[in-house]
Amino acid sequence: MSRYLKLVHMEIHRFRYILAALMCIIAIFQITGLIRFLLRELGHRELVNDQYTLKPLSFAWTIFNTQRWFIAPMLICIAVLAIYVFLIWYRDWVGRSTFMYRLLMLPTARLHIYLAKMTAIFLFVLSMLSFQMFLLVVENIIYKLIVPADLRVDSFFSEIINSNQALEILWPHNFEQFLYVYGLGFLVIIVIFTAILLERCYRGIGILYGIVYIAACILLYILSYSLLDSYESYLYPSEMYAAVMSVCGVILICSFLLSFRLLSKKITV
Amino acid sequence: MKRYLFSILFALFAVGGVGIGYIYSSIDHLPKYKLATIQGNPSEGRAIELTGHYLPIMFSDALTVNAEGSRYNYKQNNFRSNVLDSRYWFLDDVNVQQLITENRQFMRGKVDRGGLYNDEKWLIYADNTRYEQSGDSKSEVALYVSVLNKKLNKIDEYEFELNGENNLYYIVSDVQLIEDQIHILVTKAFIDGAPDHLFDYIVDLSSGLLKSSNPLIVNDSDSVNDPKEDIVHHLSTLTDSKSIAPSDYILITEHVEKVTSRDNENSYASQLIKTKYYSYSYKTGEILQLPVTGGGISIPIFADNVLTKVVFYEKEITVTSYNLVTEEFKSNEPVITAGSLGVTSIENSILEDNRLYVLSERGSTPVAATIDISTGEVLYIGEVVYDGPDSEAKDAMEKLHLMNIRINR
Repeated sequence: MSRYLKLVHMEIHRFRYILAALMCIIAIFQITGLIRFLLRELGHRELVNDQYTLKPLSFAWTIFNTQRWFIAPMLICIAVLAIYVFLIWYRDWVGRSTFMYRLLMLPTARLHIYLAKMTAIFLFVLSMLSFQMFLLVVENIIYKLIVPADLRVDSFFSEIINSNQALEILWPHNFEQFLYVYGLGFLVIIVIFTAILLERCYRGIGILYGIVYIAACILLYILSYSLLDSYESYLYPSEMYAAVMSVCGVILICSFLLSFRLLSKKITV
Repeated sequence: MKRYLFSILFALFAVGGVGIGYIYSSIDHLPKYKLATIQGNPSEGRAIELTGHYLPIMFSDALTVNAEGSRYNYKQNNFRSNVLDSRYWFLDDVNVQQLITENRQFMRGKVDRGGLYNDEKWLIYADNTRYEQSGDSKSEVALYVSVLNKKLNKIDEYEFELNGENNLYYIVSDVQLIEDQIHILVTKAFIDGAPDHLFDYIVDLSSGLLKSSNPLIVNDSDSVNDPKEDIVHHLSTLTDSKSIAPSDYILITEHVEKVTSRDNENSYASQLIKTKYYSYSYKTGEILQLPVTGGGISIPIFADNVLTKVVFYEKEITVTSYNLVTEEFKSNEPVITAGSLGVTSIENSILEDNRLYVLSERGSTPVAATIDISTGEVLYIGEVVYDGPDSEAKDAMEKLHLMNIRINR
């Protein structure tokens, strides 16, 4: 266990500067967009002060009008993390003294290497979500500092999330839905990890194996999902749900077992 | 340990941040409401659910209010609930759920309540299936019948070919078993607005052979389309509200509409001119026009051989009823008025199991009431209240808009 935690620490440590840079990019973009909009909006309200009766300025309305300033850095982060899903493995094979050689020679189960990388990606994704939530609190404080009390009105948390198209997707209102969305995301990462290990084990032909494996998992998932779309499905809804969950479970277990076997018996450096 | 301090804090931040976010979102919730009893027996209002929207400055959130409290849709929706809600129009029916419990295998793949018939000995299902063929204007349509003998636990299945032209579609409206003959009432509807046709397909129970397909001629002289006037006739059926149980009759509703504007052959806007009701007897094949006519915002219910039409206006609700067996006719009898309920206006109502459930408004406050339709006695009155500090009540109630009422037992 301690060896696994040390490997997780190592993975986090290696990525810390990139993570910090991503968080800075998000903060700069969003806060800049927020302040720009608020100053412009307040200026506009001063101009039309007595001519129209304007609705109070809510934080949710502010978020709604700064969509691009919020979505653009989120997309950058998602792209970087998606690339790192591959790089977290491939960077260990780069260079003259291949780092993966040293990892595989460690007096620890090779399973821990796999689990540590998976845990690291898991924590990176959650940390970006947590940072976004923290940033919303900070932005709310900035909003209250800029907008006078008589011009502002409170927003519910659900309104704030609904105001931004990206937040609606990334932060499901229902915690159970959060588990489904991010559970599916991590299942995808696990399948990609397995494909990467196939490529690393079998090199040239391994690319084909990896692609075939990913295609097979996608096909299996789509077949199970097609059960849900069928109007006259033979299965009852509870059975359909159980079938989809079972297929996801089968994909997860097969990916784990295959990955562990490749790491234990087949991997080459 | 100091070496790992950053990673430990980072992991705590990652996991804790998400947890705190969801805890906060559950605390910072939209306003809570509930349906509070102000008069009568609370048990008569327990099944009432009022649906509508909460409208703050931005976005509306759909919600349901009942005696237990309020539920917002956005908080309930997830993958599991969406999957479990599939085919809800069929699977949420109490009678269908009972059939599934008793005959799970037979009920697989069944989707239409109107195609079911159930008695002590037989369970029958009928539906139509279209087999598409590319490039042809005609596809194969079959009437499919499945019969379960409950005592022998034996299933027989039959298929009969129907006209498969692409400009029409079939709806199985009702299935009855009369003296060992399965009657399947099918509506043949045209996409381009040509008059609908009703057919009674009769299948012999013992042999499974299609004996006849009898067209139901509904008031023929009025049903011919006048091209100059561009009148369309739509037929729909009204089955017994306990539709899976045996019934000797089915009601036919004829809506006569005048087309006011037409985009193309299949797309048009129309205005309702009149509504007529007919009864069809499966035993005798007789079609009779009923003295009940259309008008107002009404909810027709057919139960135990009685057609009851509840018409609600802003200030009162009236009931018209006709008994097919005794031919007793009661026209526009007032059941309840807004004044007697102590409300400003009546918004909506539904009739179920001899109870009239009414949604009304007292100022801007939604009020629900339960009335015994046979006696007119008010059994329950409840009003929606804000479940929170009094200082926020006025603002919360102004943003609440409840428009529909339903019963959830």
